[in-house]
Amino acid sequence: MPPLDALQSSFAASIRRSVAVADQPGGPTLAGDIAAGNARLSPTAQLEVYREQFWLRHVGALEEDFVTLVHLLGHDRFHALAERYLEAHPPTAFSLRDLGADMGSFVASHPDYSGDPLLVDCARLEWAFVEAFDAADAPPLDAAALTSIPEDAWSGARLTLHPSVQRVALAHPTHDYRAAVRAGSDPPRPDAVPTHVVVYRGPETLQYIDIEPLAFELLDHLARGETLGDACEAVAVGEGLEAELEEKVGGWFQFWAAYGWISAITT
Amino acid sequence: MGFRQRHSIPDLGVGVGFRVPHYPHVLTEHPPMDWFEVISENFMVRGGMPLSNLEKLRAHYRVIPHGVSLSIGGPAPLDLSYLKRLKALVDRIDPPWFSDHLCWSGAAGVHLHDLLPMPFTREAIDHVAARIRQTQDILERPFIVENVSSYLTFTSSTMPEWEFVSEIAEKADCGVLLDCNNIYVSSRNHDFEANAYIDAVDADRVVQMHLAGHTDKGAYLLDTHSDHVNDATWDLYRRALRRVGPTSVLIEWDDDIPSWDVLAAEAQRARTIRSEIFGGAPSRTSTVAEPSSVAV
Repeated sequence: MPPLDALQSSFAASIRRSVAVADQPGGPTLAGDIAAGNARLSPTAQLEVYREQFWLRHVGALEEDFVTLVHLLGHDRFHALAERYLEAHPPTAFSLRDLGADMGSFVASHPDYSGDPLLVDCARLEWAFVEAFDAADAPPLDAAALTSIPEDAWSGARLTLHPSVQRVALAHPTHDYRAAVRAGSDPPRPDAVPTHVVVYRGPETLQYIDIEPLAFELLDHLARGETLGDACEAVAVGEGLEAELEEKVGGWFQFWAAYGWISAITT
Repeated sequence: MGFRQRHSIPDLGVGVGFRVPHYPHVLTEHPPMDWFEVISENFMVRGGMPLSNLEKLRAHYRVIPHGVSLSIGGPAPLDLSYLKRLKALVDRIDPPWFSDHLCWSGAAGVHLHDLLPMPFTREAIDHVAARIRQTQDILERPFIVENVSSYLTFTSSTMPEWEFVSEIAEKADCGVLLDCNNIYVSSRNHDFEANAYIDAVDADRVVQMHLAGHTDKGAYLLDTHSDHVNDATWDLYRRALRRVGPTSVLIEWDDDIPSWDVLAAEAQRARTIRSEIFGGAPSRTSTVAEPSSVAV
């Protein structure tokens, strides 16, 4: 008999394959080495029970997390996508929660899917919701903190965003499309319109909002740890947007703080 | 002194799994229920609503964490980062024990998210017992392992499952979570006498029991937790109770989850059977303290 670890490695390798054990090269021989079988199930059929469960469980988990991809592709094409994805990105985390972490980049790079930017949008947006759902907690920003910052200290201020805040630049208003699909509707494909969505955790439920591109870009720079001065310069310089930025940035900060997106400001 | 006495294992009564469809009812109405079991991995998260819901549950009920991903029989070294996160959760809940399955769940860096069966061999006993000891050392509280349903018999097995489970529990000095449905499913799948399993288990190490339904796939039974407990499994439960004494028991229902009332009625049936056998005795021994926070 092979040692325990060799037996488990062979068992695992067989049930991870998308091809039935009976059709795997050497599959029935391996099954016969591992399993005794009985009057109702051959050794191959016994091993096949576990292989089927592996695929049902993992494809099912992806279906739950990527409902809009299932809607767009239909069950069979989504199943094919999921099989390809799981072969390229086998599950390595202890929780199925992390299973779809690479779906956005996979769809964006696979020739069969990358040509449809709505698929890429949906994969990335759905994952943002997963990330926001159980991101770390952080205390809300003290309202007085915003007003107490001296005027001349703002350019050197750095923001710490709440861990649940997910920023997703999309090629369509995919957030509306997702909401309609998840509500059980069959919405038409949205027109291509650059859209900037923030997904975040509200007091009781996940929230999302479409924000203007300039605010999104500024938020992006601030999330990288840049000071407000540097971030404003990066966003506005050369674009002729200094005046617009100066006019709006104070309001954005109030808005972001009110929505709980900012957990700290350091000056 | 036996395992249960050494660890002052309480009898929590009859509980159910804490599942999403019942969250609103349980967390706002606080229906009567002796205790709840939570799937550990669902709460080994960084923050957000899972932990918020857990705290709301703990405010009204005794909670026991039940893992599905430890892979105590796996070929890879124990995942210390997983154990660290599990310890954080277990310390947060502060239960009298925690549990996982006597199985393996991955190999070669891939997590298969299944409760895969072990071959019943001396090599496997040594391997698993050492890892259980390591786990208990890290978590610093009693660990109990659950027998799993299986659909495959290994050519390399050299003993019956009940002997395998008992030897591991003895060698690792851990408790047993006796799943009566899993015994029934495996007995049908592998043509052994389920009563023999119940009769052979080390009664003093049985800390908790599970009851659940399954699905008949024709050539085999599949452990789906998607239906009522069947009559044969209720009979195994009665037999186990007579051997083990009053013991914490939990109804598992994870697929095609019914209304709270149906689930609560299933728990009540388990409670009634306990009363029929023990005359309404609520706890195992007079030396064990009642849980400090049972349902209101």
